[in-house]
Amino acid sequence: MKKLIAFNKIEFTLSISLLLSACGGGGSSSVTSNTIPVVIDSGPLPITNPTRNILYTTVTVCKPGTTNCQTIDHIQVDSGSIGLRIINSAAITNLGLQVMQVNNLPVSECITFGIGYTWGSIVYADLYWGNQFVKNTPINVIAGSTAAVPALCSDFAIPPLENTVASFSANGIIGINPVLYDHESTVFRSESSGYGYYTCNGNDCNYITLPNNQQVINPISGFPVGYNNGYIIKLPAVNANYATILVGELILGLNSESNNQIPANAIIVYSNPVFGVVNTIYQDIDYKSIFDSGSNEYYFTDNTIPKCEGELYCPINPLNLNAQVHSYTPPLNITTTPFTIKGLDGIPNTAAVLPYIGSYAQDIFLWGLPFFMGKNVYIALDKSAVSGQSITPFAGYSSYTDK
Amino acid sequence: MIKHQWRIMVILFIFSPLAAWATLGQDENSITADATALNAKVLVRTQSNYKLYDLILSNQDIQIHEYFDPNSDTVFAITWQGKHIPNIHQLLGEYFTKLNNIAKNKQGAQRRAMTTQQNQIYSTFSGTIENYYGKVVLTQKMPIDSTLESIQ
Repeated sequence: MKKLIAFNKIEFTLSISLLLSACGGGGSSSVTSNTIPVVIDSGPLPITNPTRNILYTTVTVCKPGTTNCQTIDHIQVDSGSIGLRIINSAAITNLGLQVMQVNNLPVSECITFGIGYTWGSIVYADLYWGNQFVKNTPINVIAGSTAAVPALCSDFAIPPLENTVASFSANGIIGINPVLYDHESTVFRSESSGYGYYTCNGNDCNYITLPNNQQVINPISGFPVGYNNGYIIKLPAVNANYATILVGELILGLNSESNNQIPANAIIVYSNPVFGVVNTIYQDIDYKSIFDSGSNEYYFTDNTIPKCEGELYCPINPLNLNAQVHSYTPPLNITTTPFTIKGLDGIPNTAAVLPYIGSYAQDIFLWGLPFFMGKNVYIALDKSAVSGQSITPFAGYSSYTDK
Repeated sequence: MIKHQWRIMVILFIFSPLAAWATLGQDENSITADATALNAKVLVRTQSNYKLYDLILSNQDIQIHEYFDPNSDTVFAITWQGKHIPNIHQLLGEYFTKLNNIAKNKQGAQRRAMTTQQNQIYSTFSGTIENYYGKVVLTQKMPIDSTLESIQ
């Protein structure tokens, strides 16, 4: 198995290196024990379904304890959700992963990401990400359930159902929100919410609750000490209005190695431990907020900015804006954070990287992927210990460094 | 708190066991069906050009507002805010299917927020864990002097 895994990693590292050299990209991307390459490109279906501003990585899943493995690229890196979820395929089916059983019935899961929802089976796999792994952990195979989507799932979710690579814009998603378990929130253990786990006998599905230690986990929480307390997403700045590709790194661990130190000048705000959000004040209104690599734009409420394509902000001239990020709980650490919104004039459809894109959203402020460009973004997991920090979870940022 | 200019009525509904789809685009009686299905109490506020029904769920996880125009006898907008998404199939009725069709045609991965305006249906949704908001408005059914921004 080690040879197979090693080969897969070398293959992915090599592809990133080739990508860099082909694009004349910014610097080298070395893989160490806690460094994982990430990339923004046109996605898994660049011709038929090109994507914009989605951060991807590669994972390998194996049948537990075997060398029967599959490497999957274009897995979205999402700091706003929890757990590994992969779109079903023949290659995944051929792994023969064991489906979780409760009362001798297979377990499936309904998940909403806020917008869109998925339905699929819960299986056990060995998960490899970068040079780290979690053995025999529950993961979600989207569209992997033999049962039809129950009404309790679809009636409580904002459409669409995203059960294909095209509709999901990725081969899967790896959720690394500060929360450790995907249904740690008690709201997600309530039948009245629709989301959660089900046992199904044919298409007859019943909502069930699972204890934390049986749920899909934030995979980083299962990594060794030193690499399991948080992470850094490092994306270089885009020195233009768009790019076709942007290569960065995800560094595992915080303040545990020379390459994951939080600098003294970093902005740090403390997150809610149950749902991982911070707050942002914009135009005197205080919103729940998140540093969200899973949002492809800035999303916020501003009725004064002209819009195009329905919800997209399209100011005539570039808008340099400010908002105040602060902790969910004291100390608030209120910090003015600038950002820029531009229109789409002159942006080709092939542009996969858009650093100045934003859209209208009500009752929330999302620091989406454009915010990450040119920054190191730090996320500490709930219940973790980070040297030099007395409170977790937290989120933070500083200017991008490639060191 | 409730704005002083609003006339306030609190109506305790005697719920019928017969729940029906649904409210958006339907008459005032359909609000009772929603309240029954969602096990909600109802607070009614009357303004000059519409009535606002607040549905208060028993577990207080979500606040739902239904905007009713007495002149057309139509619920023209529904909003919600809370820890999870309510049963929107119940609330939107026939527009649930229409919303599904609109969402299927949206381009790109919008995981946390989406706004659409098609076929006289305006919708905006946002959400992270334990923080979900939604607004669906039948724009052609809005009373004169109402605006999308005024519907919260």
